[in-house]
Amino acid sequence: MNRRGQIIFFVPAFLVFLVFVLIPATGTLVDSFHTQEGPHRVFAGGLYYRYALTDAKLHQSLGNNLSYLLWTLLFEVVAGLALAVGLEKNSRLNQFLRVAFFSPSVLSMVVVGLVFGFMFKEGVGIFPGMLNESRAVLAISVISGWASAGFFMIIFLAGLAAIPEELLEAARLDGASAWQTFWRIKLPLLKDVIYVALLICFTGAFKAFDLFWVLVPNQDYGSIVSTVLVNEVVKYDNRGYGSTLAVLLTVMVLLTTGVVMGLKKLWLGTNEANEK
Amino acid sequence: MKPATVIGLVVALLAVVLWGDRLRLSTPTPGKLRFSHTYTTESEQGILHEVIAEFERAHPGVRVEQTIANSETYQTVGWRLQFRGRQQPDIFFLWQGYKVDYAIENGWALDVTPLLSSSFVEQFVPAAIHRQNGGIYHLPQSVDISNLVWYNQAVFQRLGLTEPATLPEWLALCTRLRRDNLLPLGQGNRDLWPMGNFGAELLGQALGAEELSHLFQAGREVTPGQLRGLETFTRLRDEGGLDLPGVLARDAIGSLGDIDAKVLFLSGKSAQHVVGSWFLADIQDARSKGELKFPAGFFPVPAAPGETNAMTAVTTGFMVNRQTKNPRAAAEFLELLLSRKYQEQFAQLGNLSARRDAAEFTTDPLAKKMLAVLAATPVSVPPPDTGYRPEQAAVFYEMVGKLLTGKLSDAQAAGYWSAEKASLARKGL
Repeated sequence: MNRRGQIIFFVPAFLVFLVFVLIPATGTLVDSFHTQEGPHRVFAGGLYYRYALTDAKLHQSLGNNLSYLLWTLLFEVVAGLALAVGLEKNSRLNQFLRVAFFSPSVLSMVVVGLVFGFMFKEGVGIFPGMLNESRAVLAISVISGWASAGFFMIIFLAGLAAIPEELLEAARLDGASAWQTFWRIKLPLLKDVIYVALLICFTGAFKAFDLFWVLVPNQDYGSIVSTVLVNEVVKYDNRGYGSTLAVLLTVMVLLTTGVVMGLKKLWLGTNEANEK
Repeated sequence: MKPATVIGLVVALLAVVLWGDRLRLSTPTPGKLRFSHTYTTESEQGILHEVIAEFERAHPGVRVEQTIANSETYQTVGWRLQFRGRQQPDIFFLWQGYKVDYAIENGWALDVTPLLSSSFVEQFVPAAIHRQNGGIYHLPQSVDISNLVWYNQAVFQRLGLTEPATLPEWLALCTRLRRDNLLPLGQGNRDLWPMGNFGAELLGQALGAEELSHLFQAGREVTPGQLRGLETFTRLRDEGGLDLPGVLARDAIGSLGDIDAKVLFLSGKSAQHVVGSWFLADIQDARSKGELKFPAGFFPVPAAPGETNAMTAVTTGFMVNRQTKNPRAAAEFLELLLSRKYQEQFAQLGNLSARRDAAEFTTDPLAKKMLAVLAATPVSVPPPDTGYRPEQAAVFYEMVGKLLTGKLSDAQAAGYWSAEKASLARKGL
């Protein structure tokens, strides 16, 4: 493709990115250094960043995010992998079950939240009390796992389908058990898929919002960084601190992505060293 | 097609998408009155259509366009955001207190004093008309009482109970109800405001309006003695006033929504329910559908002997945008809407009019009683979420929520609130 063709493809996408991402993101960064005094915007320097360091509610929310991350790792990624391995064979029953497990992931999380909220409601729900303080984050993680494990199952099924049949055949001939085949052959060959799944799960845990907002609004035991952010901007009209939280959330997502990428390199490096 | 042409077309398309609305005529528009409010029910809309039709007949060149918002959305964000766009309202609904002050401070509100006919303001009870910066910016539509103890009259009659006159009497009544295996008080505090508003009233009774307002001021330290009014919550919680095995679990109050709690009462599962005067509309609705199986009554939250008989109430009403091109028409529209003719119709829906003659045209016995209660109340305190800065109200609501779920003791509550206020101060609030 010549230069002109490249420009034709590049410019529209760049303009959309510029208008809908770059300009608002820069605006958010600028806003995070300003405060509102009546109708006037005043430069506040690093006031909100300093405040974020000591904001106990933010720290509690961050803790909830991390707790949610760990639980969803189990209920989404590990459960998705288990489902994929369990339903790998192409039987009619398995095909039906795959559709059944995948179907919740096409639902809107708000709808999922409202339905589960009703099930967990005191007085009328079949599991009352699940959203009380001691269980709220775990209950939300289970709901999230119910809704998303099918999606991860599909990713892992695609990865499993890409494993060369001759490798599995050779393992069978060598007398490897199903367990050994999984640990020694399938799992190492799924590393790229696992990396993608971890990336989606980790970043998703920081981007989470809808289930928490629908199920435990206003309760600090169920707050996460994104709900604090939305409350600051929407409820309290505090764009400065809300923007600071948005910047910090972006940094956290980038750091998490960096850690996952680092882990991948470490894993690949170790494998390559072993292969040598 | 040349790349430059493609780029040009894309830029033009983006410009139209992003800023195309600016090609429209600038607003507010002469000849049109934009009226934003939260009157969503069919009956309320029926009255408004009549007001608008009469107004448009008398003002042939002016058309009234309604912007109807969901109450919760409007209360949290809509009331502010409507001034960020180009479709600003000419007339808008607002709760008296912090939001009205904010609107005036931000230049969204017009002093309507010179536009009103001479005797108009005198038609309202003086407490509902606030003069700010020497002018009148907010014209009252109704008074909402935030906390009333609604009760099941059939249960009270069966047990030989009468409406309590003092707080100790009421607490004893709650204990009695629980002893008879009834849920004394069905409350849902998931959204924090229901019990937060109740807590503000208890504090208002213990401290009076002025000292209560000091508690919500930035940076002010709170002492345990100032929160003695909230001991009622601890007693209610500890003596089973808020739970009943098999009906409502002990720690359920924090996860139960206000609507769920309302349903608990209307379905006869709780003997009492504390909520505002607007609950009358729900009772009338349930009664008209044949869903309410018992007669309901109410009494104001009683004060302890020696305390102030304070009541939490807020005036709702309308303001005129300072940017309006039709200030006189806007004022005339409000005069018509707030006239006896239409306030009488709103009163049939359970609305407590702020007009002096409200008692004459309010026919519902419960609504009449509310007017009498309001008239007899010596001190009125605002519900925190409309009276004070939202962040200051929010930390109070959180503290009340923690008290009710046992996460804070009475002794710890003042320290928690002070620490939260200090934290807000570090954020510049």
